Amino acid sequence: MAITAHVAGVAVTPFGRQPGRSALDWQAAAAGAALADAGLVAPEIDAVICGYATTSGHLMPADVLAERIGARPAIAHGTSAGGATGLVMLAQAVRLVRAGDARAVLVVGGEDRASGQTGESSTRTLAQVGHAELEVPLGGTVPAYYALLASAYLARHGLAPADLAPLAVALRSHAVTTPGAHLTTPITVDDVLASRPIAEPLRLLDCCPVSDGGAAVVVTAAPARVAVTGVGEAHRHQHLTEADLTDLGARRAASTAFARAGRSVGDVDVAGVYDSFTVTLAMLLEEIGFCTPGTAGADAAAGRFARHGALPLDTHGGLLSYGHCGVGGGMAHLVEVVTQLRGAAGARQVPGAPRVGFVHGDGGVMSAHASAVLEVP
Amino acid sequence: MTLAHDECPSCGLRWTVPRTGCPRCGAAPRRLSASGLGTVAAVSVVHPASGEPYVLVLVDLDEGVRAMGRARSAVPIGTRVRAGLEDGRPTFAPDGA
Repeated sequence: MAITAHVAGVAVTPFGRQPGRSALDWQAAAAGAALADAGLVAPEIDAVICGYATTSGHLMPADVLAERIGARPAIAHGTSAGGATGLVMLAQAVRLVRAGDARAVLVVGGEDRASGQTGESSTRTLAQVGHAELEVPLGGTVPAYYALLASAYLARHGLAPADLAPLAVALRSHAVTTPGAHLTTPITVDDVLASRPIAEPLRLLDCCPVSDGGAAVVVTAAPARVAVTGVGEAHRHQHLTEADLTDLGARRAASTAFARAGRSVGDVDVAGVYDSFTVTLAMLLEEIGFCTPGTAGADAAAGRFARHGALPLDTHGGLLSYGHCGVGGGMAHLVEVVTQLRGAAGARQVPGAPRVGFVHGDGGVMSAHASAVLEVP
Repeated sequence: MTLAHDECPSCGLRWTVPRTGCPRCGAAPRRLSASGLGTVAAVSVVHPASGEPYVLVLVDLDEGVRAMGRARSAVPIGTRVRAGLEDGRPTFAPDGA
Protein backbone atom coordinates (compact mmCIF):
# COMPACT_ATOMS: atom_id res chain seq x y z
CA MET A 1 0.00 0.00 0.00
CA ALA A 2 1.31 3.46 -0.87
CA ILE A 3 2.72 5.47 2.03
CA THR A 4 1.24 8.93 2.58
CA ALA A 5 3.47 11.68 4.01
CA HIS A 6 2.05 13.80 6.83
CA VAL A 7 3.14 17.01 8.49
CA ALA A 8 3.23 16.00 12.14
CA GLY A 9 5.01 19.02 13.58
CA VAL A 10 5.47 22.68 12.67
CA ALA A 11 7.15 25.67 14.27
CA VAL A 12 8.07 29.21 13.39
CA THR A 13 9.97 31.58 15.67
CA PRO A 14 9.24 35.28 15.93
CA PHE A 15 10.84 37.16 13.00
CA GLY A 16 12.53 40.56 13.25
CA ARG A 17 15.83 42.19 14.11
CA GLN A 18 16.78 40.02 17.07
CA PRO A 19 20.57 40.06 17.62
CA GLY A 20 22.35 37.51 19.78
CA ARG A 21 21.56 34.22 18.02
CA SER A 22 23.54 32.57 15.22
CA ALA A 23 21.98 30.84 12.20
CA LEU A 24 22.50 27.49 13.96
CA ASP A 25 20.81 28.85 17.09
CA TRP A 26 17.73 29.81 15.05
CA GLN A 27 17.69 26.45 13.28
CA ALA A 28 17.97 24.57 16.58
CA ALA A 29 15.25 26.66 18.20
CA ALA A 30 12.82 26.02 15.34
CA ALA A 31 13.76 22.33 15.16
CA GLY A 32 13.19 21.82 18.86
CA ALA A 33 9.79 23.48 18.72
CA ALA A 34 8.69 21.45 15.67
CA LEU A 35 9.81 18.19 17.30
CA ALA A 36 7.89 19.09 20.45
CA ASP A 37 4.84 19.88 18.32
CA ALA A 38 5.15 16.45 16.67
CA GLY A 39 5.57 14.73 20.03
CA LEU A 40 8.96 13.37 18.97
CA VAL A 41 12.49 13.63 20.33
CA ALA A 42 15.53 14.16 18.13
CA PRO A 43 16.84 10.56 18.32
CA GLU A 44 13.60 9.41 16.67
CA ILE A 45 14.36 11.41 13.53
CA ASP A 46 15.89 9.36 10.71
CA ALA A 47 16.45 12.15 8.18
CA VAL A 48 17.51 15.80 8.65
CA ILE A 49 17.35 18.28 5.77
CA CYS A 50 18.55 21.82 6.50
CA GLY A 51 18.61 24.91 4.32
CA TYR A 52 21.64 27.09 3.71
CA ALA A 53 22.29 30.25 5.72
CA THR A 54 24.09 33.15 4.02
CA THR A 55 25.56 34.29 7.35
CA SER A 56 27.01 30.87 8.13
CA GLY A 57 28.01 29.28 4.85
CA HIS A 58 28.64 25.99 6.68
CA LEU A 59 29.52 23.12 4.35
CA MET A 60 27.33 20.63 6.25
CA PRO A 61 24.31 22.46 7.68
CA ALA A 62 22.25 19.31 8.31
CA ASP A 63 25.05 17.41 10.05
CA VAL A 64 25.97 20.31 12.30
CA LEU A 65 22.30 20.85 13.18
CA ALA A 66 21.74 17.15 13.83
CA GLU A 67 24.67 17.10 16.22
CA ARG A 68 23.46 20.24 17.98
CA ILE A 69 19.97 18.88 18.65
CA GLY A 70 21.04 15.34 19.47
CA ALA A 71 19.87 13.60 16.30
CA ARG A 72 21.83 10.78 14.64
CA PRO A 73 19.91 10.39 11.38
CA ALA A 74 20.53 7.82 8.67
CA ILE A 75 20.09 10.57 6.05
CA ALA A 76 21.26 14.20 6.31
CA HIS A 77 22.03 16.89 3.76
CA GLY A 78 21.88 20.62 3.16
CA THR A 79 19.76 22.19 0.43
CA SER A 80 20.15 25.40 -1.60
CA ALA A 81 17.40 26.61 -3.92
CA GLY A 82 17.10 30.23 -2.80
CA GLY A 83 13.65 31.20 -1.56
CA ALA A 84 12.24 27.88 -2.80
CA THR A 85 14.54 25.93 -0.49
CA GLY A 86 11.93 25.29 2.21
CA LEU A 87 9.45 23.74 -0.20
CA VAL A 88 12.16 21.91 -2.14
CA MET A 89 13.17 20.36 1.20
CA LEU A 90 9.54 19.51 1.96
CA ALA A 91 9.22 17.83 -1.45
CA GLN A 92 12.37 15.82 -0.77
CA ALA A 93 11.11 14.82 2.69
CA VAL A 94 7.82 13.69 1.16
CA ARG A 95 9.68 11.61 -1.44
CA LEU A 96 11.83 9.96 1.26
CA VAL A 97 8.74 9.06 3.26
CA ARG A 98 6.75 7.85 0.25
CA ALA A 99 9.68 5.70 -0.86
CA GLY A 100 9.89 4.12 2.56
CA ASP A 101 13.44 5.39 3.07
CA ALA A 102 12.57 7.50 6.11
CA ARG A 103 9.70 7.55 8.60
CA ALA A 104 10.38 10.89 10.32
CA VAL A 105 12.12 13.73 8.47
CA LEU A 106 13.08 17.02 10.09
CA VAL A 107 13.15 19.98 7.68
CA VAL A 108 14.71 23.21 8.97
CA GLY A 109 15.60 26.76 7.93
CA GLY A 110 16.92 29.53 10.14
CA GLU A 111 19.29 32.47 9.91
CA ASP A 112 20.43 35.65 11.61
CA ARG A 113 20.02 37.30 8.22
CA ALA A 114 19.25 40.77 9.64
CA SER A 115 21.74 41.07 12.48
CA GLY A 116 24.45 38.64 11.33
CA GLN A 117 25.66 40.91 8.51
CA THR A 118 25.35 44.47 7.24
CA GLY A 119 22.53 45.41 4.87
CA GLU A 120 25.04 46.07 2.08
CA SER A 121 26.66 42.69 2.63
CA SER A 122 23.27 40.99 2.47
CA THR A 123 22.38 42.83 -0.75
CA ARG A 124 25.73 41.86 -2.30
CA THR A 125 25.37 38.20 -1.32
CA LEU A 126 21.82 37.90 -2.63
CA ALA A 127 22.71 39.73 -5.88
CA GLN A 128 24.86 36.71 -6.82
CA VAL A 129 21.73 34.88 -7.98
CA GLY A 130 22.34 37.10 -11.02
CA HIS A 131 24.82 36.22 -13.76
CA ALA A 132 28.40 36.84 -12.62
CA GLU A 133 29.47 38.41 -15.95
CA LEU A 134 26.28 39.60 -17.62
CA GLU A 135 24.11 40.91 -14.76
CA VAL A 136 25.87 41.46 -11.43
CA PRO A 137 28.59 43.83 -12.82
CA LEU A 138 25.84 46.07 -14.20
CA GLY A 139 24.64 46.76 -10.67
CA GLY A 140 22.11 43.94 -10.56
CA THR A 141 20.54 43.31 -7.15
CA VAL A 142 17.59 41.15 -6.20
CA PRO A 143 15.27 44.17 -5.87
CA ALA A 144 16.53 45.42 -9.25
CA TYR A 145 15.87 42.08 -10.98
CA TYR A 146 12.32 42.00 -9.58
CA ALA A 147 11.87 45.68 -10.45
CA LEU A 148 12.65 44.84 -14.07
CA LEU A 149 10.00 42.12 -13.89
CA ALA A 150 7.60 44.62 -12.30
CA SER A 151 8.12 47.18 -15.05
CA ALA A 152 7.37 44.59 -17.71
CA TYR A 153 4.37 43.29 -15.74
CA LEU A 154 2.86 46.75 -15.31
CA ALA A 155 3.44 47.64 -18.97
CA ARG A 156 1.98 44.37 -20.23
CA HIS A 157 -1.23 44.88 -18.29
CA GLY A 158 -1.48 48.67 -18.56
CA LEU A 159 -1.18 49.05 -14.78
CA ALA A 160 0.54 51.50 -12.42
CA PRO A 161 2.51 50.88 -9.20
CA ALA A 162 -0.65 51.71 -7.24
CA ASP A 163 -2.15 48.54 -8.68
CA LEU A 164 0.44 46.32 -6.92
CA ALA A 165 0.36 48.19 -3.59
CA PRO A 166 -2.89 46.56 -2.32
CA LEU A 167 -0.98 43.28 -1.99
CA ALA A 168 1.39 44.88 0.54
CA VAL A 169 -1.57 46.45 2.35
CA ALA A 170 -3.46 43.14 2.55
CA LEU A 171 -0.49 41.23 3.93
CA ARG A 172 0.26 43.93 6.48
CA SER A 173 -3.33 43.73 7.68
CA HIS A 174 -2.71 40.02 8.36
CA ALA A 175 0.53 40.67 10.26
CA VAL A 176 -1.08 43.23 12.55
CA THR A 177 -2.63 40.38 14.55
CA THR A 178 0.10 37.74 14.09
CA PRO A 179 2.29 37.17 17.15
CA GLY A 180 5.97 37.37 16.21
CA ALA A 181 5.50 39.35 12.98
CA HIS A 182 8.36 41.69 12.00
CA LEU A 183 6.18 44.57 10.73
CA THR A 184 2.81 45.22 12.38
CA THR A 185 1.91 48.87 11.75
CA PRO A 186 -1.10 49.08 9.39
CA ILE A 187 -0.34 50.69 6.02
CA THR A 188 -2.34 52.13 3.12
CA VAL A 189 -1.79 52.24 -0.62
CA ASP A 190 -0.69 55.88 -0.19
CA ASP A 191 1.93 54.76 2.36
CA VAL A 192 3.33 52.26 -0.16
CA LEU A 193 3.47 54.89 -2.91
CA ALA A 194 5.07 57.45 -0.56
CA SER A 195 7.77 55.08 0.68
CA ARG A 196 11.26 55.62 -0.73
CA PRO A 197 12.10 54.10 -4.09
CA ILE A 198 14.33 50.99 -3.91
CA ALA A 199 14.37 49.97 -7.57
CA GLU A 200 11.55 51.64 -9.48
CA PRO A 201 8.73 50.80 -9.80
CA LEU A 202 9.29 48.99 -6.46
CA ARG A 203 9.33 51.07 -3.30
CA LEU A 204 10.33 50.14 0.24
CA LEU A 205 6.88 48.83 1.16
CA ASP A 206 6.76 46.69 -2.01
CA CYS A 207 9.78 44.83 -0.57
CA CYS A 208 9.99 42.36 2.31
CA PRO A 209 12.16 43.25 5.29
CA VAL A 210 15.29 41.27 6.21
CA SER A 211 14.75 39.38 9.47
CA ASP A 212 16.28 36.98 11.97
CA GLY A 213 14.35 33.80 12.73
CA GLY A 214 13.69 30.20 11.83
CA ALA A 215 11.06 27.64 10.93
CA ALA A 216 10.87 23.86 10.90
CA VAL A 217 8.50 21.03 10.02
CA VAL A 218 8.48 17.31 10.74
CA VAL A 219 7.27 15.04 7.92
CA THR A 220 6.24 11.54 8.99
CA ALA A 221 4.89 8.29 7.63
CA ALA A 222 2.85 8.01 10.82
CA PRO A 223 -0.59 9.56 10.43
CA ALA A 224 -1.13 13.17 11.48
CA ARG A 225 -3.97 15.62 10.95
CA VAL A 226 -2.45 17.18 7.81
CA ALA A 227 -1.32 15.07 4.85
CA VAL A 228 0.92 16.22 1.99
CA THR A 229 -1.04 14.97 -1.01
CA GLY A 230 1.09 16.48 -3.76
CA VAL A 231 4.43 18.18 -4.36
CA GLY A 232 5.95 19.56 -7.55
CA GLU A 233 8.95 21.51 -8.74
CA ALA A 234 10.13 23.31 -11.85
CA HIS A 235 13.54 24.81 -12.64
CA ARG A 236 13.42 26.59 -16.03
CA HIS A 237 16.23 29.16 -15.78
CA GLN A 238 18.59 30.71 -13.26
CA HIS A 239 19.13 34.19 -14.67
CA LEU A 240 16.52 36.81 -15.45
CA THR A 241 18.04 37.28 -18.89
CA GLU A 242 17.03 33.69 -19.73
CA ALA A 243 13.57 33.77 -18.12
CA ASP A 244 10.54 33.00 -20.26
CA LEU A 245 8.07 35.43 -18.72
CA THR A 246 5.15 33.40 -20.05
CA ASP A 247 6.39 30.13 -18.52
CA LEU A 248 8.52 30.82 -15.44
CA GLY A 249 7.89 27.43 -13.86
CA ALA A 250 5.30 28.30 -11.21
CA ARG A 251 2.44 26.81 -13.22
CA ARG A 252 4.43 23.65 -13.93
CA ALA A 253 5.36 23.12 -10.26
CA ALA A 254 1.81 23.75 -9.08
CA SER A 255 0.28 21.58 -11.80
CA THR A 256 2.48 18.66 -10.79
CA ALA A 257 1.47 19.06 -7.14
CA PHE A 258 -2.23 19.46 -7.96
CA ALA A 259 -2.21 16.49 -10.34
CA ARG A 260 -0.60 14.25 -7.75
CA ALA A 261 -3.22 15.36 -5.20
CA GLY A 262 -6.10 15.09 -7.65
CA ARG A 263 -6.93 18.72 -6.89
CA SER A 264 -7.05 22.04 -8.74
CA VAL A 265 -6.73 25.72 -7.83
CA GLY A 266 -10.47 25.93 -7.28
CA ASP A 267 -10.27 23.42 -4.43
CA VAL A 268 -7.87 25.51 -2.32
CA ASP A 269 -9.28 26.84 0.96
CA VAL A 270 -6.13 28.55 2.23
CA ALA A 271 -2.87 29.43 0.44
CA GLY A 272 0.67 30.50 1.23
CA VAL A 273 2.43 31.95 -1.81
CA TYR A 274 5.96 33.40 -1.82
CA ASP A 275 5.92 37.19 -1.67
CA SER A 276 9.43 38.63 -1.55
CA PHE A 277 8.03 41.65 -3.42
CA THR A 278 4.50 42.65 -4.32
CA VAL A 279 5.22 41.81 -7.95
CA THR A 280 6.49 38.34 -6.98
CA LEU A 281 3.16 37.54 -5.39
CA ALA A 282 1.15 38.98 -8.29
CA MET A 283 3.09 37.05 -10.93
CA LEU A 284 2.97 33.78 -8.99
CA LEU A 285 -0.75 34.02 -8.25
CA GLU A 286 -1.47 34.73 -11.89
CA GLU A 287 0.81 32.11 -13.43
CA ILE A 288 -0.43 29.40 -11.05
CA GLY A 289 -4.00 30.36 -11.94
CA PHE A 290 -5.37 31.79 -8.71
CA CYS A 291 -5.92 35.17 -10.41
CA THR A 292 -6.68 36.38 -13.92
CA PRO A 293 -3.52 37.94 -15.41
CA GLY A 294 -3.15 41.55 -14.29
CA THR A 295 -5.73 41.35 -11.50
CA ALA A 296 -3.89 40.14 -8.38
CA GLY A 297 -3.65 43.64 -6.96
CA ALA A 298 -7.29 44.36 -7.66
CA ASP A 299 -8.22 41.08 -5.98
CA ALA A 300 -6.24 42.16 -2.91
CA ALA A 301 -7.96 45.54 -2.88
CA ALA A 302 -11.34 43.81 -3.07
CA GLY A 303 -10.56 41.72 0.01
CA ARG A 304 -10.27 38.36 -1.75
CA PHE A 305 -7.13 37.43 0.24
CA ALA A 306 -8.51 38.43 3.66
CA ARG A 307 -9.07 35.74 6.29
CA HIS A 308 -12.77 35.92 5.49
CA GLY A 309 -12.15 36.34 1.76
CA ALA A 310 -12.62 33.78 -1.00
CA LEU A 311 -8.90 32.84 -0.98
CA PRO A 312 -7.27 33.47 2.42
CA LEU A 313 -3.63 34.10 1.49
CA ASP A 314 -0.41 34.45 3.47
CA THR A 315 -2.55 34.85 6.58
CA HIS A 316 0.50 35.23 8.84
CA GLY A 317 1.57 38.33 6.91
CA GLY A 318 3.93 36.70 4.41
CA LEU A 319 7.49 37.73 3.75
CA LEU A 320 6.26 41.27 3.20
CA SER A 321 5.16 41.67 6.83
CA TYR A 322 5.82 38.57 8.96
CA GLY A 323 9.34 38.95 7.59
CA HIS A 324 12.08 37.16 5.68
CA CYS A 325 14.96 35.37 7.42
CA GLY A 326 15.98 33.44 4.29
CA VAL A 327 15.04 29.75 4.09
CA GLY A 328 12.87 30.00 7.20
CA GLY A 329 10.96 32.89 5.62
CA GLY A 330 9.68 30.72 2.80
CA MET A 331 8.84 27.98 5.31
CA ALA A 332 6.66 30.27 7.43
CA HIS A 333 3.98 30.06 4.72
CA LEU A 334 4.01 26.27 5.08
CA VAL A 335 3.80 26.46 8.87
CA GLU A 336 0.89 28.91 8.61
CA VAL A 337 -1.10 26.80 6.13
CA VAL A 338 -0.65 23.69 8.30
CA THR A 339 -1.71 25.69 11.35
CA GLN A 340 -4.81 26.91 9.51
CA LEU A 341 -5.68 23.38 8.34
CA ARG A 342 -5.38 22.20 11.94
CA GLY A 343 -7.83 24.92 12.98
CA ALA A 344 -5.20 26.11 15.44
CA ALA A 345 -4.59 29.67 14.21
CA GLY A 346 -6.52 31.29 17.06
CA ALA A 347 -7.51 34.87 16.30
CA ARG A 348 -6.11 34.45 12.76
CA GLN A 349 -8.15 31.33 12.04
CA VAL A 350 -9.71 31.18 8.60
CA PRO A 351 -13.41 30.41 9.03
CA GLY A 352 -15.17 27.36 7.63
CA ALA A 353 -12.69 24.65 8.70
CA PRO A 354 -10.34 24.79 5.66
CA ARG A 355 -9.42 21.33 4.36
CA VAL A 356 -7.24 21.97 1.31
CA GLY A 357 -4.11 24.11 1.50
CA PHE A 358 -1.56 25.13 -1.12
CA VAL A 359 1.95 26.47 -0.63
CA HIS A 360 4.43 27.78 -3.22
CA GLY A 361 8.03 28.95 -3.00
CA ASP A 362 10.16 30.83 -5.54
CA GLY A 363 13.95 31.04 -5.52
CA GLY A 364 16.33 33.32 -7.39
CA VAL A 365 14.56 35.52 -9.93
CA MET A 366 11.49 33.35 -10.47
CA SER A 367 14.10 30.64 -11.10
CA ALA A 368 13.31 27.73 -8.76
CA HIS A 369 9.69 26.79 -8.07
CA ALA A 370 8.29 24.31 -5.58
CA SER A 371 4.64 23.71 -4.64
CA ALA A 372 2.78 21.52 -2.19
CA VAL A 373 -0.85 20.58 -1.66
CA LEU A 374 -1.78 19.82 1.95
CA GLU A 375 -5.06 18.32 3.07
CA VAL A 376 -7.06 17.34 6.09
CA PRO A 377 -8.23 13.89 4.90
CA MET B 1 29.12 47.51 -29.69
CA THR B 2 28.09 43.97 -30.53
CA LEU B 3 26.70 41.59 -27.92
CA ALA B 4 27.51 37.88 -27.79
CA HIS B 5 24.82 35.24 -27.83
CA ASP B 6 24.48 31.53 -28.53
CA GLU B 7 22.67 29.73 -31.33
CA CYS B 8 21.91 26.05 -31.58
CA PRO B 9 23.19 24.77 -34.97
CA SER B 10 20.68 21.92 -34.82
CA CYS B 11 17.31 23.48 -33.90
CA GLY B 12 18.06 27.20 -34.29
CA LEU B 13 17.17 28.23 -30.72
CA ARG B 14 19.03 31.33 -29.55
CA TRP B 15 19.85 32.58 -26.07
CA THR B 16 22.18 34.99 -24.25
CA VAL B 17 23.84 33.31 -21.28
CA PRO B 18 26.68 30.93 -22.26
CA ARG B 19 25.56 27.30 -22.13
CA THR B 20 27.31 24.06 -22.99
CA GLY B 21 24.18 22.59 -24.60
CA CYS B 22 20.91 23.66 -26.18
CA PRO B 23 18.08 23.43 -23.60
CA ARG B 24 15.66 22.26 -26.30
CA CYS B 25 17.63 19.60 -28.22
CA GLY B 26 20.95 19.19 -26.39
CA ALA B 27 23.25 20.10 -29.30
CA ALA B 28 26.47 22.04 -28.70
CA PRO B 29 25.85 25.75 -29.43
CA ARG B 30 27.92 28.20 -31.44
CA ARG B 31 28.74 31.74 -30.26
CA LEU B 32 27.51 34.63 -32.42
CA SER B 33 27.57 38.41 -32.22
CA ALA B 34 24.39 40.46 -32.09
CA SER B 35 24.22 43.94 -33.59
CA GLY B 36 23.37 45.67 -30.30
CA LEU B 37 20.10 47.02 -31.72
CA GLY B 38 16.89 46.20 -29.94
CA THR B 39 13.74 47.25 -28.10
CA VAL B 40 13.44 48.00 -24.37
CA ALA B 41 11.46 45.24 -22.61
CA ALA B 42 11.93 46.31 -18.97
CA VAL B 43 13.45 49.29 -17.16
CA SER B 44 14.26 50.18 -13.56
CA VAL B 45 15.86 53.18 -11.90
CA VAL B 46 17.83 51.53 -9.10
CA HIS B 47 18.46 53.51 -5.89
CA PRO B 48 21.41 51.88 -4.08
CA ALA B 49 21.89 52.27 -0.33
CA SER B 50 24.92 54.42 -1.12
CA GLY B 51 25.84 56.13 -4.39
CA GLU B 52 23.88 57.62 -7.26
CA PRO B 53 20.81 56.03 -8.87
CA TYR B 54 21.39 54.18 -12.15
CA VAL B 55 19.18 52.69 -14.84
CA LEU B 56 18.99 48.98 -15.66
CA VAL B 57 17.18 47.67 -18.73
CA LEU B 58 16.31 44.41 -20.39
CA VAL B 59 16.49 44.76 -24.15
CA ASP B 60 15.02 42.37 -26.71
CA LEU B 61 17.75 42.36 -29.35
CA ASP B 62 16.79 42.14 -33.00
CA GLU B 63 18.48 38.72 -33.17
CA GLY B 64 15.76 37.32 -30.90
CA VAL B 65 17.65 37.18 -27.59
CA ARG B 66 17.35 39.29 -24.44
CA ALA B 67 20.21 41.24 -22.86
CA MET B 68 20.59 43.17 -19.62
CA GLY B 69 22.35 46.50 -19.73
CA ARG B 70 22.65 49.93 -18.26
CA ALA B 71 20.80 52.81 -19.91
CA ARG B 72 21.77 56.47 -19.99
CA SER B 73 18.25 57.47 -18.97
CA ALA B 74 14.95 55.86 -17.96
CA VAL B 75 14.00 54.93 -21.52
CA PRO B 76 10.36 53.81 -21.75
CA ILE B 77 9.49 50.20 -22.58
CA GLY B 78 9.14 49.85 -26.36
CA THR B 79 11.91 52.35 -27.17
CA ARG B 80 14.31 51.36 -29.97
CA VAL B 81 17.83 51.42 -28.50
CA ARG B 82 21.43 50.70 -29.50
CA ALA B 83 24.18 49.35 -27.24
CA GLY B 84 27.40 51.23 -26.60
CA LEU B 85 30.23 50.57 -24.16
CA GLU B 86 30.47 53.00 -21.23
CA ASP B 87 32.74 52.41 -18.23
CA GLY B 88 33.18 48.85 -19.46
CA ARG B 89 29.44 48.12 -19.33
CA PRO B 90 27.00 47.65 -22.20
CA THR B 91 24.90 50.81 -22.05
CA PHE B 92 21.83 51.43 -24.18
CA ALA B 93 20.65 54.74 -25.58
CA PRO B 94 17.78 55.55 -27.97
CA ASP B 95 18.78 54.58 -31.51
CA GLY B 96 19.80 57.62 -33.55
CA ALA B 97 20.14 59.82 -30.45
